[in-house]
Amino acid sequence: MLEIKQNGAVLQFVGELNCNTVVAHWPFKLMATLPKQAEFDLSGLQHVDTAGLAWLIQQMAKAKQLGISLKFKKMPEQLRSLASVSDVLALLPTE
Amino acid sequence: MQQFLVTGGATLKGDVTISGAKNAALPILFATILAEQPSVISNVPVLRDIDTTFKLLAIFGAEVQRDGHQVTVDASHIHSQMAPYELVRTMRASILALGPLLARFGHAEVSLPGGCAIGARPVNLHIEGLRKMGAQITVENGYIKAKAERLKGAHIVMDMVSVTGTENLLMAAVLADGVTTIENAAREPEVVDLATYLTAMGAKITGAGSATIKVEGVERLIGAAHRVLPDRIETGTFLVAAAVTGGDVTCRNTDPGELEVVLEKLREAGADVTTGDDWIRLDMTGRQLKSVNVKTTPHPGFPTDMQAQFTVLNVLAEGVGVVTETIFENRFMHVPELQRMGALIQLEGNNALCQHTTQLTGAQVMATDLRASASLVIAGLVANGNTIVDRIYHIDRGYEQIEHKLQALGAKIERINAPA
Repeated sequence: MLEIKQNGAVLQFVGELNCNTVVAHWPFKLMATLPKQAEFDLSGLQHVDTAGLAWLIQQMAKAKQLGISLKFKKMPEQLRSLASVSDVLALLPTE
Repeated sequence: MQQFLVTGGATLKGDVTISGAKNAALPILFATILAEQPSVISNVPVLRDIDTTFKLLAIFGAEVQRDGHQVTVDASHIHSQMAPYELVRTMRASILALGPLLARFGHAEVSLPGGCAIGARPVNLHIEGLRKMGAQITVENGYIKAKAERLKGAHIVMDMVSVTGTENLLMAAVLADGVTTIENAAREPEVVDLATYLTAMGAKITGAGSATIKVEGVERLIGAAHRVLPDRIETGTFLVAAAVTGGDVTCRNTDPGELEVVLEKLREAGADVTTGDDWIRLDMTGRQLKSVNVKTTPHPGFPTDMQAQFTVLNVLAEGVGVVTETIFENRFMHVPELQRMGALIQLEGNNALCQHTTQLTGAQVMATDLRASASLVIAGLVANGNTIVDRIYHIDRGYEQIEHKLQALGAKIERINAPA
């Protein structure tokens, strides 16, 4: 289960971002509604798998395409570890 | 034997249309065996391995009709389940016939593929997985002989991540009796593309793109239409070629989202990279190439199939870049060839330390595998003088009309016959 709540420029992700939940968010239409400075608040994510990580990377790409400066905030440790294993942690737009 | 004659010095400029991904098209073409009705597959690249697959499908009794990049496969009259050595030895991916033949017909014989230049890619992962699904498998006279009345759902933990292993087991599981779970599965986009096609055929699959794939077997599948995803590695290869020649190239018919990690490395290397829904532009005009460290990892990390190209990029860039290969144990065979062109590269275990090399010089070099070949062509594009790349059958396996595409961008490259 994944819930995405929009609060202005911030999208708050709650639940699981994995192969089962990302399917419903492809294409991710909310991205087009975001202003030029936007944030993903990832603190509510309980579990992320590699499909979820790939989805986040795809959203980074989409944000660049749309001219949106996107930040990932409050990344859970599990996601950080997964990104580190995949050697993509440095690429993620974290603070 | 054919060769490429590459004359260095051209700056690549213009648009290039990216082909469908061979690594997605091959398993999808084999998966057409699973249905009793025709399937229509589009965006299929024109490549030698694809032709070999057509020959295999024809030997099995399938009717294959090709119209440009669209292929119709009718597997309703399959009469043979045997993939002979003569074809399998030319294409390791022939092993992908095993799963679908066994799943639909209850028996299959596929010749064991030969050795592989880039390291051990054992087929025992395929065999062990199928055994867990109830198949009786023997290896006799160089052939894998498999039979099962109907495969049964199983819990399979793969010892190592294998793309073809995952695909073979996925194709077997869709017609098995019960639920199959594949753990430590490959997560590459090409696996997801296969799952998408199988789902369109009526398969029940969840988890594709993650390390755990679940398949609920069904009695039968139906034919379906599917468009093969664009080749992300061909895209990356042209972008690196544009970067090292100081060019400005737009790749069309591609998917930027699947290549973001590579694009980030190109941006880090100093390139101006912009994207649209189905295009990527790399502009290196007036910019300085900077070295980057890359480490290959399974998807969504940096793909091993882009490692050789980035080795060349680092040689030509300012600074020192380290390329770390973690997927295959013997995938630096392009390095001695690049060193013959003057590249300053030091190999230490699975690391290649690349130092800035002021000028590569043309030389006669030998392609050793698909991506290594591409790296040698890229090196030839910037080398002083002529580079002759031998054994280009490797590059023909994975790049559709690469010399024509490069010529259209301004490169000086031609296919020649080697002297007798």
